[in-house]
Amino acid sequence: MRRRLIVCLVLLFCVATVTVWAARFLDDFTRADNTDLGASWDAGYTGAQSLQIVGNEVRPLLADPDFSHETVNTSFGNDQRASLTIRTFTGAGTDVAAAHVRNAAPATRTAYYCAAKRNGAGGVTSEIVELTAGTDVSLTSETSTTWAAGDQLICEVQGTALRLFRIPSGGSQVLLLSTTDASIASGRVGISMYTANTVADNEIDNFAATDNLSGASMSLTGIGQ
Amino acid sequence: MRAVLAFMFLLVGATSLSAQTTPRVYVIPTTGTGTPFVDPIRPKYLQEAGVVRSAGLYMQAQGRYLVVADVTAAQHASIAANGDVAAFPANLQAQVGANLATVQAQLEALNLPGAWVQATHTYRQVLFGMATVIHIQQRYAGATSDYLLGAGITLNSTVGDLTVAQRNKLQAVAASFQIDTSSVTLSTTIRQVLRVFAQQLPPMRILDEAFDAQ
Repeated sequence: MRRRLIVCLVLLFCVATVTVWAARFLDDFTRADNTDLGASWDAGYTGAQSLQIVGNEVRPLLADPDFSHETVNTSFGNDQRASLTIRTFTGAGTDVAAAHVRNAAPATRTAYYCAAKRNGAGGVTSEIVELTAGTDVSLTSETSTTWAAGDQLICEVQGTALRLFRIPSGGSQVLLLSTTDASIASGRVGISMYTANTVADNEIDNFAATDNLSGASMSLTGIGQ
Repeated sequence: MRAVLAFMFLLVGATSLSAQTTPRVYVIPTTGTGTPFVDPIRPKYLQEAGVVRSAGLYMQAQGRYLVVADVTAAQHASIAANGDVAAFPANLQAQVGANLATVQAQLEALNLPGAWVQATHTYRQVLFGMATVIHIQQRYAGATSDYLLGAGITLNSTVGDLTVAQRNKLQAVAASFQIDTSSVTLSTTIRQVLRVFAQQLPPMRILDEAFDAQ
């Protein structure tokens, strides 16, 4: 009995350790509805709206032609991992939910971002984009994934390597895309969202980020679930 | 009955074979306006050909991508048929051989040093050399919002031809990659600088294709 208890405690400690060191920033957005993400976040990007919190989840503030973009206002090391969970991804129009890494401070929209897409141009469903002064440059994309509520999107930058992972709801982590780019050397983590029709069609939750990539990418699994 | 089953098996096999994809490498022009979320700058022809997965190194100054795409034989034929697309051989371990002059000229046309390529180099080694120089050019443009080449500066210009500001930018790029610049002097040409820098960068992987010195 005592041995079982010790084993259980050790296991609990390991899980807790992984969770604690893996993420330097966590936000489950459990707070009052608001038209921006709050004190830990910065809006004010050129041409972009803030994001909004509705029902403890994050949506774009306005639909097309507007889009929304905010970043975490604490500094991170240059190798970064950012993750978000899709809560709603519906409707007839295009939806995009994106996790940003190496994002410049406001107001210049420069970053790398990993995007989950539905009903997008060219049938693109996942994409890593280099965003330079407001211009989107696709670095890698694929057209075969159906993103859905509960899916986790992970964006990673390590040196010049960029990776996009998906953890399907209840499933295991899959590397969908990888490429390299050397344009952006440092920056923040953040979120951007776009929806063509109705902002309630596109909602995310549980943003997590770290600049400690020494562990397996799986280490973000379970955070904020 | 057995004959019918065997025929169906063959048919299914042939269908799946025809849809099989292999990674192919291209230098390809860009399309798209860069409008956020709606119309990104991207490699031309790939979406029209129905390519499911691709990744590329963006050469902003040249308006081109060095792209790895998973393509079927039909998709490859469709993409490679465009006059502004250069396709690498399927076997990247093949040596450049008799294509040496063409390869060197195509690299130089992209403002990438080409003279270092020898007939005994494999195409994978050429790709590695290209990709690392592209990384240097990307970092220069990203860090300085400027291009290294242009406005009178060519691959044959020397470091001494650069303004002090440009030299400082180049030095900053080297520092960001922790590159040893001790062999670079005012008489070093830009093509030599790019090779010195590029040879100190690590191998990389794009989709399932390794860009390395093998």
